[in-house]
Amino acid sequence: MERAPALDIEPTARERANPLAGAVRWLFRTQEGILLVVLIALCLLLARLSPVFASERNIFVLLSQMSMTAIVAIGMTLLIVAREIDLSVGSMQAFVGVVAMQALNATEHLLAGLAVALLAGVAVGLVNAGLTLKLKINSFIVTLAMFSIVRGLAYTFTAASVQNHHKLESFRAIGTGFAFTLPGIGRVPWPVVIAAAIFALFAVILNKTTFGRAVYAVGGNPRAAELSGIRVDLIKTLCFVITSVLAALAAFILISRMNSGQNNAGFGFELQVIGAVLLGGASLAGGQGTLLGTLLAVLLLGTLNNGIVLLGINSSWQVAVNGLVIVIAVLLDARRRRSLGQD
Amino acid sequence: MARRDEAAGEGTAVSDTRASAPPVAAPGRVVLAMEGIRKTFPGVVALDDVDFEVRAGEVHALLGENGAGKSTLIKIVAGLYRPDAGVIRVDGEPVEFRNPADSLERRIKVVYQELDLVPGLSVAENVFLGGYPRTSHGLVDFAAMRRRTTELLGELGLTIDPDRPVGELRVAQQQLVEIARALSRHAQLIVMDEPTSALSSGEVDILFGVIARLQERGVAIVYVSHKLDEIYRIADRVTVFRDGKRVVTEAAAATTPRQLVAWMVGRDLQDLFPKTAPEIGRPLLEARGVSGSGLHGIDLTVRAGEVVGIFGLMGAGINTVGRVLFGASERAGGTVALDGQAIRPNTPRDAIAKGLGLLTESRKDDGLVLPLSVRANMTLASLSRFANLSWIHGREEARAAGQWVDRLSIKTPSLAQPVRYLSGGNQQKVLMARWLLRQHNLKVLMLAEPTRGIDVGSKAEIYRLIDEMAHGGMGILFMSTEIPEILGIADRILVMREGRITAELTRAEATQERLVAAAAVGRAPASAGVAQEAGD
Ligand SMILES: Nc1ncnc2c1ncn2[C@@H]1O[C@H](COP(=O)(O)OP(=O)(O)OP(=O)(O)O)[C@@H](O)[C@H]1O
Ligand SMILES: [Mg+2]
Repeated sequence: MERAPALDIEPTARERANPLAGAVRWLFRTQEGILLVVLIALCLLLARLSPVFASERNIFVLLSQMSMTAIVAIGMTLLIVAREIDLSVGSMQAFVGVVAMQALNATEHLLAGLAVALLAGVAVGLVNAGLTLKLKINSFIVTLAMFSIVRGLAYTFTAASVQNHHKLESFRAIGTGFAFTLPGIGRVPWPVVIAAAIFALFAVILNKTTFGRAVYAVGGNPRAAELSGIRVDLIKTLCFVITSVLAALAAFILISRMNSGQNNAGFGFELQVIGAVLLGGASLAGGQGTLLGTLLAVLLLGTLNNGIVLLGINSSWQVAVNGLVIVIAVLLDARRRRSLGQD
Repeated sequence: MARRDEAAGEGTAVSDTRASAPPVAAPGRVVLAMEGIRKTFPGVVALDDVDFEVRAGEVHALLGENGAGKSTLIKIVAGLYRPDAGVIRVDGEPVEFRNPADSLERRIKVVYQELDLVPGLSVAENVFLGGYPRTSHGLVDFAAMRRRTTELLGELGLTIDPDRPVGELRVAQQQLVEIARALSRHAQLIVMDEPTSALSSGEVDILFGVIARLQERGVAIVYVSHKLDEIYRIADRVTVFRDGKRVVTEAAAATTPRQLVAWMVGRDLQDLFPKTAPEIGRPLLEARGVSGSGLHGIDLTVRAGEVVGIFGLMGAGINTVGRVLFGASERAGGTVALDGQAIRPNTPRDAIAKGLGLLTESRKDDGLVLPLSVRANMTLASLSRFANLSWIHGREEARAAGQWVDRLSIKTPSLAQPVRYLSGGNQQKVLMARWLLRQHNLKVLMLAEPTRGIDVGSKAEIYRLIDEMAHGGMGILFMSTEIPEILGIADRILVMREGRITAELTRAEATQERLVAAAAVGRAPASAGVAQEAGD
C-alpha cells in the first residue's frame, strides 16, 4: 500500500510463508493497522446506533467535508515529516476564500478564480518558508504569526463575507456536485475525487521519487541530508509551498460549498489537520509519517465528529475531542520514541 | 532500596563514604550471574540462551563481531531491556530489572558510549545527580557536594574542577565523571560499552589507571571493546559472543589474539592490512593555506591512487580537516581545489558535485538518518544513480544496497529495517556503504575514523576496500587517531597538532614512535594533560 518504503516493515521468513500472519501483524502492530481497525469498529458501532449514519446523504456530506481536511493534511504530512509545521492553514481558509470569491466575481471565470487562490497559496507558502529558513526562526513561531496576519488580512478584505455574484454553474459543482457514479455504490462527490487524486499523487511522490526520499531525510537528520548533497532549504521550501497551495485548494472547495467567502472560515481547522497528521503516525521529531496513516486518521476523526452530531451529543464536544486526539497522538509519539531506547 | 537511599540521601550518609571503601563484595565472589538469557527483536535473535557471570574485582571483557549481542546484554543488565527468558542474579539473589533505577539500586552502573550526563550542570551536580547531599535545613549542600566530588575524583587520581559545566569537558573527562558518579552510588559493578572508541591513547591510559584502582577496591568491571590490545592490557577474563550465543569464557592470559579472533568470526582471519603497491598519479585534492574552525594554514595534496593519512591526538583537529575541506565546517581562508576545479567554501553540495566525499566521525550527529531504513541511509548520497527524472527504481536500489550489506557483512533482518535498530558497528558500516555506493562519482574520498566501533574482521574488509578504491585511481584522505591502522594503510602520513600540520612522513619513515613524538611535541605528557586541559 502507500506506506513509505523507508518505513516498510518487511515480512519475516515465517510471515512470507504465511501471509495471513503478516496481515494480522500489520493490523495490530502498525499505527496504520490500528487506525484501520478502530475506524471499522467505529463505523460498525455508529451504523448500529444511528439509522442516519449509513445513509447515502450522510456519507456524502461526511466524505466531502473530510476531503478538505484530507487535502490539507496531505501537505501537512510532508511538512511535519520534514520537521516543520504550518499553523496558518486555518486562517488561509478565510483569506483565500474571500480573495478567490472576489476574483471570481470580478472575472466571472472559474479558472481565474482558482488561479488567484493557488497563487495566494504559493505566496503564503513562500513567506512561511522564507521567514523560517532565511531568518532561522522556528516555523512554529513564524506560522503562528502568519496565523494572525493571514486572518487579519481576511478581516481587512471584507467585514464579514464576499457573496457569490457571478453565479457560475461549474463553481458550485466543485464543492457540491458529483463527478461520476460508481455502479452499485452511488454517486461520488467532486471533493472526494479531488482528494483521492491528490492523495494518489503525493503517495507516489513521497514513496517513489528522490524528492520524497529527501523529505524524509531532511526531517530525519538535516545535517546528514546536507552532507549527502541534499538541498535542505529547497526541499523544506517546497514542503511549505505545497502545504499552503493545498490549503488554498481546500479553501476554494469550501467557498464553493458555502457559496460565499467568509472571513471567519476555518477557525480551529489547523488543529484538526495537525491532530490528524500526528494521530496518523507522523512524528514532530521529523523523518517519520505516512500518507496512509494521515488519511486513516482524517477518516477516523471525521467519523468521530459525525458520530457526536448524530448521537445528539452537545456539539461543543467536537472541539474538545480534537484537543483530546492531539494529546493522545502526542502521547503515542512520545511512547514510541521512548521505547526506541538508546545505543 | 535501603542502600541507594543511603548513598543518595542525607548528608551524613554521604560523608561517611570517604576513603573507607563501601562494603563491596569479597574478591572473587560472583556479583552478577545471568543464566539462559534470551532476547529477541522482530526478525532478530539478539541473545540466545546466554550464561554470563562477573566476579568482584575482575575486569571481564566482552568480545564479538558487530551485532553479536554485546550491547543488548549490557542493556539488559542496565534495566533498559527485559529479557524474554532467563534469570539474573545479583549477589546470589534473583532480581528483575524493570528500569534503569532498579539496576542502579543493585549498585550496577552502566557507562554508555553516548553518555547520559546533563551538559548544562556542573561536574559536581552531575556526580550527585538524583541524590544531592543536604544541609540540616534540607537545602542542597553545595559545599559538601563540591568537596565530595573532589574527593571522589581524587580517589580516581583525577583533578577536574567540580564547578565546570560538564558540556565543556572532553568525552574522556565526561566518561570519568560518569565513573565518579558510579562511585558516589557505591557501584559494585561498572559496565562500559566501548569506552575507548573516542579516546586518544593518553586518555586511554588514564581510564585504565582508574579501572585498576576500581579493581583494587573490589569493584567488578565489564568492558566491551573491539581493540584486542586493550583486552590484553586490562582484562582478567574474556567472554566471546557470536550471533547472540556465548562461544567461550576464558582467562585472558590463557588466550592468543589469533584464537580470540577465530572465536569471534568463526574462522581464521587473514591479513588485516591487505596493502598493495600504490600507483600514484596526478594531484587531485589540493588545499592551500586553509584556515577556520580551529585550523591554521593547512597545505595538503592528495594524488590519484594515494592514501594519505592524517594522524593526531584527540583535539588536534584531524577530523576538522575533512570537514573544512568538504564544507561541513566553516572555512575562513585558503583555497581548495579538486582536480583543478576550485571548491566553494561551506557548501558540501558543491564539493560532492565535483567529486569529493566525506565520511564524518560523528555517526549520530551528521551521519545516520535514524528513522530511515538501512537502504535509504545507504543510498542517500547516490540516489540519483537509481533514479530517472527523480523516479526511484526501487529494485535496482535494493540490489545495489544489498550487495554492500553482504560485502560488509552488515547484520540486519532486512534492507527495510530502520537503521536506528542496528548495532553501533553495523550503523558505521552503513555509513561507509553510503560512500562506497557513490565511489564511481568520486575523485577523492575523505574518511574520518571510518572503523570506529567496527569489529576486527570487518576492519580488514574496509581496509581492503580502501586499497581497492585507491587502485582504481581514487585519492583517499584517511583521518585516524589509531596508529596501527594509519601505519597499515597510508602511503604518506601527515601529523597534526593544535590545528596545524607539524610533520609529514612517508610510509617507509613512519613508525609508531615517530608518530607519537610528532603528535605530542611541545605538549605536557598526555597522562597528566588530559584531566586538566580545556575542551578544545
Ligand atoms: N532495539 C532493537 N530493535 C531491533 N533489533 C535490535 C535492537 N537492538 C539490537 N538489535 C539487534 O540485535 C543484534 C545485537 O545487537 P547489539 O547492539 O547487541 O550488538 P553488539 O554486539 O553491541 O554490536 P556492535 O559491536 O556493533 O556494537 C543486532 O543484530 C541488532 O541489529
Ligand atoms: Mg554495541
